[in-house]
Amino acid sequence: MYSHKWMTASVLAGLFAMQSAVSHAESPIGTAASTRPNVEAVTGGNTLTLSSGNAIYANQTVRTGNRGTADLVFIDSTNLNVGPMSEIRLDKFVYDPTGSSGSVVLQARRGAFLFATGSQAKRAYQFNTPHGTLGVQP
Amino acid sequence: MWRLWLSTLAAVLLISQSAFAQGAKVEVTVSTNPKDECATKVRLISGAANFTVAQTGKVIPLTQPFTCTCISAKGEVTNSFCPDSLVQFEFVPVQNTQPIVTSPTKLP
Repeated sequence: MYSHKWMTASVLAGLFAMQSAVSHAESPIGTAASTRPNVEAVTGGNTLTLSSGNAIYANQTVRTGNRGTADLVFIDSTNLNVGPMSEIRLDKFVYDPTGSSGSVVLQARRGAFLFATGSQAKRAYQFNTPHGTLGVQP
Repeated sequence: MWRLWLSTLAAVLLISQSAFAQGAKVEVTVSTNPKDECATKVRLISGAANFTVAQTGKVIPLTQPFTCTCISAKGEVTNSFCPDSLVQFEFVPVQNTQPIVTSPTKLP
């Protein structure tokens, strides 16, 4: 009886550990080409300092402080400059360099941004704000 | 004759390639201050884009570079010529940035 409980607990602990490992094993979608402190990357409740050269991931929220800036370069050459006191979630990134199933969805919550689309089809890009959606004309 | 035809073809290919490759470059500001006239402000630098206003569903085409579109918290839209940047920050120019090459991960 007790051994079953221990086995169940061990399996659950193992699954939890695997989930954590898998979440860190996701492929990066780009890199922080340059940053000026403070810049934070929030993933699933974990907050890390984002420095120059660090990888960025889908579902990550990038947040800058009073003087913080970040220049994010995605693997499709999309460029996103994040100004001070800004927050943006990298909602979705699907890289399809030859096909039409690529998708780049960003969710700006506050602040200032300079956004330059990359090499994917124009309709792949969606820049959301609380007040609407910016898309690229085909 | 052939030379003329080839140069015309090359020009057409070049134009179509650049038209396909060109995306859009925009500046966007998002305010959380309810007193601000523009809740979201968009400035087109190059290319062409459109902005769909969440409250009204209205689609605003952005085709003229250096035109600002101001969207109020109520969804009202005003356009204006704005030669100056919306973003008041500078970046260190990126040089020799190598793209990240990823490969499929084999799980055990």
